[in-house]
Amino acid sequence: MILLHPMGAYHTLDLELNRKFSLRKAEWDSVSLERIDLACDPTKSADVAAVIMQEGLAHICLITSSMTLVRAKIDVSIPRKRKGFVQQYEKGLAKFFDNVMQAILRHVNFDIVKCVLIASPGFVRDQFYEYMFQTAVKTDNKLLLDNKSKFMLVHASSGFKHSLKEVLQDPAVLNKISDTKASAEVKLLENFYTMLQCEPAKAFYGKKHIEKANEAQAIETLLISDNLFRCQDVNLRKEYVKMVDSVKEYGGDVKIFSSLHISGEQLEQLTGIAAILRFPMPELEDDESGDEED
Amino acid sequence: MSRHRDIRNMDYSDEYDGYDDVYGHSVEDDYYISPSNRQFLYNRENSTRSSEGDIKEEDEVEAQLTDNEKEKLEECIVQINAILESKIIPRNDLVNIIISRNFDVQRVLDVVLDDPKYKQTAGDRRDKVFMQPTTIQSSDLEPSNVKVVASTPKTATNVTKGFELPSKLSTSPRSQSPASGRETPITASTAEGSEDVKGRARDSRIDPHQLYKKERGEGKEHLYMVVIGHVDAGKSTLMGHLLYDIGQVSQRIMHKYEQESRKLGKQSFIYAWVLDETGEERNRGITMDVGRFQFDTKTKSVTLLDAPGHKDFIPNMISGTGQADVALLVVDATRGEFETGFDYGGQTREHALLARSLGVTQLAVAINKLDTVNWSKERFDEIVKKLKAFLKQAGFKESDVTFVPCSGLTGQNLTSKPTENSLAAWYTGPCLLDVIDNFRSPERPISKPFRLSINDIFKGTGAAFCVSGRIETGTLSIGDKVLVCPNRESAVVKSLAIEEVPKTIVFAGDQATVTLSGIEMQNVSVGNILCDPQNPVPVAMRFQARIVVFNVTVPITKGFSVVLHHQSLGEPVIVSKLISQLNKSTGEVLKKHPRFLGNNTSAIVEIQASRPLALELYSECKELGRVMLRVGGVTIAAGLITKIIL
Ligand SMILES: Nc1nc2c(ncn2[C@@H]2O[C@H](COP(=O)(O)OP(=O)(O)OP(=O)(O)O)[C@@H](O)[C@H]2O)c(=O)[nH]1
Ligand SMILES: [Mg+2]
Repeated sequence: MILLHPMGAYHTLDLELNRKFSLRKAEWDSVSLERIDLACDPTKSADVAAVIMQEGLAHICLITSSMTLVRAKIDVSIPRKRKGFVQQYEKGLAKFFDNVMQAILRHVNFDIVKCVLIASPGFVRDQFYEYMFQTAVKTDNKLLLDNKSKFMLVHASSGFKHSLKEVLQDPAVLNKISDTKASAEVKLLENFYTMLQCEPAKAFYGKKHIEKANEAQAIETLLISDNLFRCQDVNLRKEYVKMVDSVKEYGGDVKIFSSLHISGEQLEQLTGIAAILRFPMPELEDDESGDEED
Repeated sequence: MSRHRDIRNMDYSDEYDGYDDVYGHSVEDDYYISPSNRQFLYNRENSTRSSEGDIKEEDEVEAQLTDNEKEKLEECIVQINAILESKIIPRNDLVNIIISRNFDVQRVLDVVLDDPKYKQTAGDRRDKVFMQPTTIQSSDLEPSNVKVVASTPKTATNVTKGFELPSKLSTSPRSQSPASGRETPITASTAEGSEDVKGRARDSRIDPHQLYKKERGEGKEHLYMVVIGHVDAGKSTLMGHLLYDIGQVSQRIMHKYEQESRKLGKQSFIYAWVLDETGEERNRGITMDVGRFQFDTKTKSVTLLDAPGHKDFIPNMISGTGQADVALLVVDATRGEFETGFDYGGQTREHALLARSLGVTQLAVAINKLDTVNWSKERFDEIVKKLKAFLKQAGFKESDVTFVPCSGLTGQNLTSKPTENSLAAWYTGPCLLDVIDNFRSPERPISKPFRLSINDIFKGTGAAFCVSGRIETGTLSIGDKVLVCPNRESAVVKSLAIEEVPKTIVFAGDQATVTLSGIEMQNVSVGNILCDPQNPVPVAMRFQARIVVFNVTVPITKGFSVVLHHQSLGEPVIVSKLISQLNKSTGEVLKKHPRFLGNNTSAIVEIQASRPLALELYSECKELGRVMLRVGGVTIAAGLITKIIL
């Protein structure tokens, strides 16, 4: 089954595989067309699952090319180790691991998923992995045992969802997964921040600054959240489409971020629009209006 | 007010079928577990020891022990009596408990100390009623007085079982009044001995300072010391060895650690095992969560908090440091190792900065593992010089920092003057234990409104549950009513303890274990604040903070996702606005609405959380007004809360 997220957003249809359907829309702008292309690419189906965890907290996510879905969140409190009472801690941890394992079995379809990333700080991932497969052997869980090779352990600094971006940048992960759109977006946003650190006059965000940079034909890469094309105000929507077209026209690169991915969410927080410039525009920096549009 | 039910602790396996869209799923009212179930739990352990018949059986039990077990038994009894300093427990009882607890002294103590039956204080019959409704024998209480009443979930949050426990201090004006012994219970049924009794409101007439003097006047001053530093600097080894040297760890236990660590091929960690207790920590030779130990110096009673050095466990280190008065920074003097820990990215710097930002002002620095550099004075001086410059920059006063050379593994200069000639030749200062003794005990803000930040939640004996954490400000007595924020749920204090020793009152600065009643365990989480219901802590999702940005690889912008650390809480938040950039030293506004904040800048920012948090203005309460911001496992900024946006 393909889950298609059309640009018009709020309707989601479940479509059966290999059945024809037609999609009608009064006006097809360039952005919409591109998204359709992307969504039609069969290699971009959901084949990566990720478990982001720390002691007591886990998020089980499925990653497709257009979105990251959090399928389950497990949040339990585990007693800390206390002098002479390590049993309560160890018991609490085992129960937590059991919950995570059950959630994986429930939400990960091993027929489709080719790779399950287990990410955590410290040794939680190793402990969990060990626990899961020990349990699988004990209970003779064929499903897990047969798919053991799909699991991959990676570092993440916390069990919060946004740590997924660290996971998606891990070179070992990049090697393993076929669909790298989510990773590519993380990388792009990272590039923007690096530029802001090293050459702040070549990195801007916020509509006003970006418009001015575009007028000067300075935009090398435009990062824009797909949510901006979904806003209620049709004119504003058109403005953004026009901006995308004109950046392309001037030879710039346009990257549309899925607001359903981790870095898209972040870009949205950062006004939804940012750009790396070809040449520095320090004059923009003095213009304080940039950040004031809330 | 709609009570938001937390789904913590729920057994997920059956519950979350429909959790596909977690982005916006509300769990309110999805689950309902009767909060009053607990009342039907019958505490079997406590009720099996009251008849003569039982005692006889216990004698027989003792007779059946093997010699080996008898020996263990005697050892346990000696240890327990040493700790409890009296024979308040009949031997037979004790034997029975010891056997049922598998000769584990800690667990036995836990049972004994939690069981009011063994409290020394007379007139404690109420406690018995409180804990053991089924075994009361006192004739003046009708059985109906202690009948378990199922209450509706709505009132259950405010309910305590059993009786109000009066403060036992004779200075309390209340205890001299005719109503002595019980504070007016304000419940629907006000009959004598009714089950439902509300917690006591605070009495403002009592002067907390006077109470403090009375309670703690004679004893040694209590000091909480956190041990910090880069991974493998030798923190656990240093402290484990020190504890062994002053007799806090028995030779028998040390022998056991030696045998067991050798089996794992980890002999070099035997002293670290004193503090690294979990299997995982021992197998890996790495501290993962804060280890605790209690010891005395000449003038102080010290609670040691051994923080993990590994980068990934900094959240635990932050939580440990939040409870500490002073810090001991351990650095590895080995050539190359000091440099690794101190170079950009190493935890020597990050820990020191965190400690300072968390309010620690007094610091001792142990230049450790000097055995690996032949006790070289040059190496010591070189490291001291580098650290001095850095610590000064980090905000430590030079007069508040002491450097001490030592070796945790060989035990040089820990508890006595060095015996190693090459060290004694140039070092004449105090040994580590004396350096610790020389710390000044900090002020205790005991007259402020009560606040406690929860850093652990666990089951007590029987059906009760405990929270532990530091009393940041104010005082707390048994029977007090408290509010658990941000959820704003009420609870009543059933019992109090410090380091397993029961107390009737605890003060700001103490690390206490509080047994709560009238609240469900899953409604309390680590990072919550217990506070005085008449003077509650503000709860908000948005606030402003004045932050100092550390060394960052990418600048902070509007919309930056960070993990906020506030006491023991770690919470994902967003830096929603950059309000102004400030001059670091004068605080004067340099720029309004900066686009980004780079290295070493200072600024006012607005922070937005996705759920309510319990916070305080720094100006109101330093302890709860500090926050740390971390990204990708790195601390990027420390801040003080300047405005709470309700
Ligand atoms: N030569 C020498 N080795 C030491 C000394 N102190 C500790 N070590 C060794 O250093 C290693 C690490 O010691 P730990 O005590 O676990 O270090 P730690 O700082 O507690 O480490 P974490 O808690 O994991 O951050 C062990 O192998 C110790 O034997 C010392 O004074 N001299
Ligand atoms: Mg350690």
